Amino acid sequence: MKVPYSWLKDHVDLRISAQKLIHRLTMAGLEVEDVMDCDGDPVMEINVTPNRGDCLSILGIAREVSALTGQALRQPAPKSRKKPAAYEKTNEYPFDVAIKNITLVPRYMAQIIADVKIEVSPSWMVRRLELMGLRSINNVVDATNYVLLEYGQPLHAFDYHLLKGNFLQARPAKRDEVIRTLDGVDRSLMSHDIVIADHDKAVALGGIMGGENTEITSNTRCIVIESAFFDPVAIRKTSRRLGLSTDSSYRFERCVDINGVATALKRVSLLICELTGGRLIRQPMDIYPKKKKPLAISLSPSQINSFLGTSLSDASIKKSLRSLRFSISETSKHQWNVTVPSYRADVTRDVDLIEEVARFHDYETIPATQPIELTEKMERSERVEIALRDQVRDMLSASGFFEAIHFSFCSKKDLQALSPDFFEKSVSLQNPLAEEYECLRSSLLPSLIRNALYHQNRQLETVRIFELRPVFEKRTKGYGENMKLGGVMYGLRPNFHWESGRQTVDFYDVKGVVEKIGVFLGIQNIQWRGSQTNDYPFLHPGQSCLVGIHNQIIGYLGALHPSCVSAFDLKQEIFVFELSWDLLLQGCRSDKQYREVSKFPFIHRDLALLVDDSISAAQIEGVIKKGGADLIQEVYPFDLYRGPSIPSGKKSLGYSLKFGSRERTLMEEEVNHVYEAIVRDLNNTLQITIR
Amino acid sequence: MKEDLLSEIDSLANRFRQKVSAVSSEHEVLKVKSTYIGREGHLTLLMKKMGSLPSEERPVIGKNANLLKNEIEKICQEQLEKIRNLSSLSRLQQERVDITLSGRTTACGSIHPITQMMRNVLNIFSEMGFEVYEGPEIETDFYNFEALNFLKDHPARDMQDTFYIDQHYVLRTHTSPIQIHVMKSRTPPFKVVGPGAAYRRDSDVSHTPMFHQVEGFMVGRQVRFSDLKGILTEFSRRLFGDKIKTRFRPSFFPFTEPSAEIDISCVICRGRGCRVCKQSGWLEVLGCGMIHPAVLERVDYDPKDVSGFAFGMGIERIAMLKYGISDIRLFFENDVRFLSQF
Repeated sequence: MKVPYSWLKDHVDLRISAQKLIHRLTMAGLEVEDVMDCDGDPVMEINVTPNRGDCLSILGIAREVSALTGQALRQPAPKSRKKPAAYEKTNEYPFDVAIKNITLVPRYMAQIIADVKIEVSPSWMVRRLELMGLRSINNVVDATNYVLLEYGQPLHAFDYHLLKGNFLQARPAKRDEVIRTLDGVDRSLMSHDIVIADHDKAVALGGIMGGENTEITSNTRCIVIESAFFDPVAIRKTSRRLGLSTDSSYRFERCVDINGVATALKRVSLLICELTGGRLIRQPMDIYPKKKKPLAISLSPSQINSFLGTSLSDASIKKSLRSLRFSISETSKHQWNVTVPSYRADVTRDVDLIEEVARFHDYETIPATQPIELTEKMERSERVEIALRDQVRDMLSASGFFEAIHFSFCSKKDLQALSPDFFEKSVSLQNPLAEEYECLRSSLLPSLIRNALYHQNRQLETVRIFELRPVFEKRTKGYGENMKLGGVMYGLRPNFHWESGRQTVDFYDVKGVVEKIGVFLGIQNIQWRGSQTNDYPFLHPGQSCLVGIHNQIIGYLGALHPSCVSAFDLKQEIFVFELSWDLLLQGCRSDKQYREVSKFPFIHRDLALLVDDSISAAQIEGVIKKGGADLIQEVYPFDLYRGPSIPSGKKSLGYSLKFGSRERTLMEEEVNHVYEAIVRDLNNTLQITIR
Repeated sequence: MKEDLLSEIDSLANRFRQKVSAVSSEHEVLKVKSTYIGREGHLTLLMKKMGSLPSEERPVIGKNANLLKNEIEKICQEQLEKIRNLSSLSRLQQERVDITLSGRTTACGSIHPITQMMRNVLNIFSEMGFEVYEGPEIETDFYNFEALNFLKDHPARDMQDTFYIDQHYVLRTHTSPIQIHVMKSRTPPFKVVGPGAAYRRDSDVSHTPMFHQVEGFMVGRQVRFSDLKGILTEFSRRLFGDKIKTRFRPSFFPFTEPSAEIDISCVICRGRGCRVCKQSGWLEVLGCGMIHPAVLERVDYDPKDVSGFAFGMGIERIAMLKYGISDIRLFFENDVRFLSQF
């Protein structure tokens, strides 16, 4: 809301500095966001919150300033010294108004003004409209706009001679009714829209915009001025549906003063007579069947102090409420009846009055205290899980990954390109911002791939990103949210060093990350399964796997399928993983128990094996562990080699074995015996020979 | 005879001292040592001759010869150590590495600045005894609006342009629905903070369609507006530092009454006025207020029995102020050159 100082001064004396005024208004809830200088005229930009419809006018702001500074409020007065026009008793210009639905239109007033001369407005008025950002049109339309800004009451002028049947009616729109509004747009209406109609047709979209068919032109000689109260909800619905917000609809939505309807009409009528030389034909017509009673709220002064934590005296509470034009009658010393001014639609119960008292006194005068009732007992808090998420974030960041937070949105196209399953599960938005944000992601993967692409397009040769965020899915009833831990990597390995040269990441790097997450969370027996199923078409079938815990798939890892690499225009292959956070946590060991460290020495043996290419490490380790039984403590591969010295179709694998016992020192012969048995088993079951 | 031997010891001593001072290697020291006290050494031979001396002369000669022997052993040992030290130093110096070449390590990533700021805020409230709850990001109209006293077709809903999923579900426009979830499942008193993402249909340098908030609220038998001031003043002090001033001014939220906005003195210009604070010297960081009785009633609490306060803050805004970031969209672009700075 723009408020020029010069205009404000017409209605209240400003005896404090501009800076003080800005501070006082801001601290009373009318935040002055900016002060602009318009050719020497300072104009305040005040942020009026949606509850304060009463402050959407110069007088409304002046009323607040008057309350805050104690200066008297001056009502608008005619500019000229001429005697104001009088209401003529006459039968000329017969006219009638009616309301069809008093819920939608509780009050409708109209004034006929005859013999108007449509001209340009006087320069003072043009200037003020300009300061408020309005363009001058002619003296009649300008007068209605001027009074709208002055009082906050929207008004509209019709050309009397263009209205059929000397009649105006406020009614719900008919089915398929169409009106061309003043902006030249044809609007098709629905039954909860309000129209103003003459005998034949709609002539205005009630409370929002006038119709082109009855607009004031240079030929207009007689006018009908409308001043009304429209239901805020109905106006908002129509305005939203048509995407048409005007100075008028903005104020009706925020509720105008139903008693001010008459005051503003009188003011605009006299102003128009003054500007156009018009004559007031009879008293205004006023349809107001159900008069609104003033609202009285019961309030106890002690309640105010205990709610705010203050110790204000009764006198100072009364002073604040009375300054803001609430009237108080004491039913007893401890119980007051407070009557709310008709323009304060936002004040409906005792807490609203408490806020009025608090803001009048300035929140800064309220002390800062500690709660009396301390609640230290903790019930079911999610703190523990949040802490675990933070630990995993720290671990991954220490392993070379940057945490990303992507939007939860993605495009259907991306999901479709990856997997029909992702696409089917995804949740669509009714009103997305853009096509690339049209649904909620059912997997972190599209965001991770887009992130890799972003970096590849910017010449970044190495990227490691992880994300720990919820994804969304449609369920038979409602929608689900699942926390996922995912990541993408390409380029150099995180342990790149000048000594080892430029080694780029491959399957084993991304697998290593997932293994590390498992170890970190204390998850035992993670299963790695080939991903030949059709559920993961976005994975490279030869370089990917599914991750399982307790025979349940919790995610996947590996190289992105080459067809996806090209579908997303990636320049370089990327490696990804995505795990269900909840299932990971289920696999977490919460019953950690200390086991004594073995005091007995252990014995090392290396195994160099010549293995058929088709045999997996898991198979070999299975045989070794079975053969070693409880004497084998550790088995790990230390070398994998394929080359000229190895027959084709074979690989050489080196295994390191550690034997030991918790109860005693092992004998060499005992270990040799087991070792030979393992070698035999490997040969018998997997046709593996020792090199 | 006696004098001959004594002078021979003397001359042996002199010769030894000369020789030993000229040695430069371990081998030479050992050679000098054996020349004098080896099996065939000069001193050894001399001492063998002592047997032919008269018994009264033996102790004097023996004493001198032993003194010399001890001296030779000691000096040779010292020389040996000196030479060994020197040679090992020169050997170790040949093993010198270029200490300026980078070490063998795993590269370090980073935690997203929003996560970091979120942690700071949650840690402060945890220290102040608040519990932590999260809530769903897809909410019903009831939780996101109705229960929070946003009436249907009220302009207050314009404050939060909403993403709709269908006629019942929306993406939450704020973290305030967490208030309703907790109030519906708990009995006062409690104090809770609720962190999370929220969504509004908005996009420019200071708005993104997804952003993060921390919600906080306390409900109990006699929770006052002054308590809200006490808690949030202390919070601001802990997050922004002792030098920051705060001010509370009236505002409007449908779910609080009275409502307030908390400004902190501008962290950029320290309150003198700059572009960031639009010359006002103040920055808006938090919205808060006393929980509206209509909200309490909607979760079947009696506003006569209990009262409470609630507050909410935008994490991006605080992070932007703290790190000097002028475009909110950078947080969600996730450029590693941006992320690696945190």
